[in-house]
Amino acid sequence: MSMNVSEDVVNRIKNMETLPTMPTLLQPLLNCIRRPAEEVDMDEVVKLAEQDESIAAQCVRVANSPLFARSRAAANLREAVLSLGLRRVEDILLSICVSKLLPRERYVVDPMAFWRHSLGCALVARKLAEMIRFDDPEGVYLAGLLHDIGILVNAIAFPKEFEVALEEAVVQHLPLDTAEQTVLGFTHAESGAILAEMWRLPPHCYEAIRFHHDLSNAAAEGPLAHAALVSLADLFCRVRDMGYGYPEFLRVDFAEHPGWNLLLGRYAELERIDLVRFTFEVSDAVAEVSAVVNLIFPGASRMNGSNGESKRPN
Amino acid sequence: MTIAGSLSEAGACGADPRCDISLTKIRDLIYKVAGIYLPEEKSSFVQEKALKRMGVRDLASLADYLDLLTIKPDRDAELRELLNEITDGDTCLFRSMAQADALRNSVLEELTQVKSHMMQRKLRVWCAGCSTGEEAYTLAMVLMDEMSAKYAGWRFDLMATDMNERALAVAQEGTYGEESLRKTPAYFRERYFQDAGVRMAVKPEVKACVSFSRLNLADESKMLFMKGMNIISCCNVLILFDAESKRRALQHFYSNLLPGGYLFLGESESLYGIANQFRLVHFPQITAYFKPSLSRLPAVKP
Repeated sequence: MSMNVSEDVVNRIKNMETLPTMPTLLQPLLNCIRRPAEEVDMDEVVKLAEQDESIAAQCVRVANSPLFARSRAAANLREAVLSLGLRRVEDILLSICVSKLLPRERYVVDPMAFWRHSLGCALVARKLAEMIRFDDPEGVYLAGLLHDIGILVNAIAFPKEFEVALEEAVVQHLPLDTAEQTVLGFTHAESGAILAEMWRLPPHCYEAIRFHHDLSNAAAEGPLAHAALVSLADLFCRVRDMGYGYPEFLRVDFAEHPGWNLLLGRYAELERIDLVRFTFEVSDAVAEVSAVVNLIFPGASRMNGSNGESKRPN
Repeated sequence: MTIAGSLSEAGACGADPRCDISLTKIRDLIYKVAGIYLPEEKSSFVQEKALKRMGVRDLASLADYLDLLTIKPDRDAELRELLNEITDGDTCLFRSMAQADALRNSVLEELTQVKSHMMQRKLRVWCAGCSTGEEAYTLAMVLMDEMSAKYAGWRFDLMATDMNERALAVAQEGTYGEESLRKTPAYFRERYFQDAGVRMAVKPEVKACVSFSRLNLADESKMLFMKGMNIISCCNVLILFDAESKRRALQHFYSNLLPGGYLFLGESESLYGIANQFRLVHFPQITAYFKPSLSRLPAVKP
């Protein structure tokens, strides 16, 4: 894989007509989330979120959904924080913010599958981070949520080529980045990294976006633990029904994965994880992740798969 | 806390007052002792089975039942009863489509590539603990279908064993009712079955691919004769074994597999803490265990 995208591609991304704009709320929200919980003031978060009425309203709606099952409905953001806790409301706000990066009609990929994968990856990566006692699980969560923004870039800046790449991936059951490399000559990891630079995302997010499919080529770039965790979570999601929305013919041996080996020397807890059980727990999370994504995208179509046809299954 | 725990705290039981932390503990116990994971969405199923056993043992609460399973003298026997309830009657053809897909989409290609330089283009497959034959015939149909479509010149030997003679007799007959066929894709139903009154019979060419025989997985001397396997499938058999018998059976499976070979267990089974000689491999929706070939072992640095 080439380490550098051609200048032409960089220019096309920088000159995109409808460049995904960073939601104004995102950066200050990130600043809150990355501070220790005891230093974050509830009023600060509430005031911040109320600057965007539609986000605040959506957050209250999600907080009141059966998923969060509270006896008394919250009338506003403040009540939602009181009943669910600040951390959880921050999570909801962040997911809503990130989901607003692009209007639904502009996707080439299925938006439900895309956000299911992103949110699933964020949750799985954070859980892994907690299990190995990594000191920045919230940073990992954010990196997971944003790791595939390059897919949005490709869908907007290179819609025709990206559609061909996606079609190729679906037909051949290939990983998306493999098909992108063949058709576009670069992957969503590289185009996402360009956007991450433009948005001045924190370095750990940049690394996760840039290297989540390409860790073995990133040795000299930094500590990379966030990228490694996101890269593992990405695979856990893809083998457990939270992939890109089409069946990939995957065979994953985590023990051989560069992300695994990168973390192994530094986090002894990694070896003690029961990977089979963890995988089952990823499956357990699918329903809840889907429910949240359905709330954020009401009325969007679901992905489906069927085995009832009598043609030879492929 | 679960992975999605930060999304919701509703958990497995929701607002059901009969349910409490005991149910989660019972699911945990079953995983630890039998290596079988019962997902959250199956909590009500576990609860139903536990309630049935509570009726038999005249207990009023799940907490009392958990005590019976953990601290009472006959806890092992009761756990076995509960496991029997939980695993009872859920066998059918194409029970794990994920396993069939892993074979078709990854494993066969890999195995045929590894063996392609050999004179004999044949895979050896063992269905260990085949009971009434559903899993063995599923494997046979998937292998026949794939080989005729993609692997010209390849053949397979499929041995299916069980210790129960009556189950083997049913397997050899090879006729199944609708209940057993409920997960069989129309494609396979149309090609590999024929009418047999109200039931469906596995076609003779499929039956011809499978040789059934009696074998007790605890019989050490007979286990030694099952050498040279490329694939071993042993679904939901080991869950009733105690830890030591399980460990021994798995050691035999490992020795009997050729390097590069695969062991498949039931979709919700785990070998964690039982056998660490295998490499865990993830396929979509299923895990399998792999015996590394020499070329895949980590290179030794000079």
